Amino acid sequence: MGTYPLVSRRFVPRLCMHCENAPCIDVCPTGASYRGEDGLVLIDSDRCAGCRYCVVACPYGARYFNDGKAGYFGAVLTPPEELGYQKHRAGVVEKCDFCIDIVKQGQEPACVRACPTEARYFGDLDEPYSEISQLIRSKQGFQLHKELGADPSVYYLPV
Amino acid sequence: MSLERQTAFGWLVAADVFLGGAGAGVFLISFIMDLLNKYEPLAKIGGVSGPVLVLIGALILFADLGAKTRSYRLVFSPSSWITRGTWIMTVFILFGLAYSLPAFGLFAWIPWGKATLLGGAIGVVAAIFSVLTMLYTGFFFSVVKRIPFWNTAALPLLFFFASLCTGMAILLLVAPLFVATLGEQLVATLHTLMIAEIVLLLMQLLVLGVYLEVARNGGTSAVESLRLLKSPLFIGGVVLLGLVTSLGLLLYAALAISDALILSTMAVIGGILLLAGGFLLRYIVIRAGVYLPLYST
Repeated sequence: MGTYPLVSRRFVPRLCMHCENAPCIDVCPTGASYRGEDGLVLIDSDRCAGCRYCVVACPYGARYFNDGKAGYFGAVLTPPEELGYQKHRAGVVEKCDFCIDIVKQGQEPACVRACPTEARYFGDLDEPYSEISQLIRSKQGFQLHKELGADPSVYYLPV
Repeated sequence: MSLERQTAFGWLVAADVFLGGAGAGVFLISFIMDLLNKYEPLAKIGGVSGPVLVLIGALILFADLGAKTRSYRLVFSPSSWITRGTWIMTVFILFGLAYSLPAFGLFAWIPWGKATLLGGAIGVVAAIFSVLTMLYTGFFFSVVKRIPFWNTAALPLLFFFASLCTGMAILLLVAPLFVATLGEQLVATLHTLMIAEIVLLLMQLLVLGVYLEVARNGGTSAVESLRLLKSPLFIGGVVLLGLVTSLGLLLYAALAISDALILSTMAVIGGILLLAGGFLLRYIVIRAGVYLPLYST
């Protein structure tokens, strides 16, 4: 980050920011990208025509096109890949959905549960006294590329 | 965070933008020729080739879709420039063909000709939508805030003038085919077309200069796009062959050549150079779209 010669390295987790004014929903021609009842930005893969406009328009690079090509090790799929590929459809765009299936069951998304240093928090932004709302206030959490006006729902806490 | 180039759109999208622009451009110029009541055989072929080229472009875009069976859904979301473009191109193709086809013997049964009131009204609608088609090819990219090289008001203008230049180039390319119908008029016609093309090319050069200067001041990502532009394909293909050489060629031909055969050859060479330059311009601008870095302060 920064401009040469004032540069530094930083690890930034890259996930769908579930923006309030999501550019992906604006540019989607089929209505496949939509906002769910709980505020999450989701993709209906039964509607996506695979035009990839949203891949380009997402300010955070959160979307990718499933071109149906081979797995990590080439043509041969590993057993976990074989299992995982059944759930994903080729020819459409995919992204992080905040593990909506798990969240609906009252649990936290897999990345939050799996993080060994508890660096991730999940909660309700609309609730002013929820843990994340308080953390954002007390630690001055900030959004990436606020100037683009997408109003992302993911906040980063400064070091 | 290193700077990434977009890879979602490639030469198929460039081909659609190129054909859409050239098709709309050649139609608009042909429509103006009809209004002036001049160059009738050229206007006839230009008027029909416009919608056909746009249709081919749209089919190429269709071929680029990941899930073609769901392409009918593209019309449902007016906030998207793909939806807007689909509507604009559909109206243009339908009205453009409805306006142009009655001039051909095979379609003489269609009750409205170019000269009738209804035919003229259809032509005006098609002409308006040809302008919208040319602008759409630019707005498609300029709304993407994540790519500063595209996200500028100069891009729709650049693609608009590139569309007109390539539209005129098609006419330069096909005009010599009408040596039999145009006869003595061929030389005068080619001279006029060339002078018009020179004016359009000068405007395109101006807009290209403005566009590059805007990018030069557009921040790190846009400057990286400019760095990608410093390739033989852009400097050699777009600027030297597509703009400077063809400009010189047309200028020389328009001022100094009056032999029909030599003039025709120069028109064809100029037309090919201009079309190749027009396609490369779109391809390179699309390819050089560099994203904003994810994390920047």
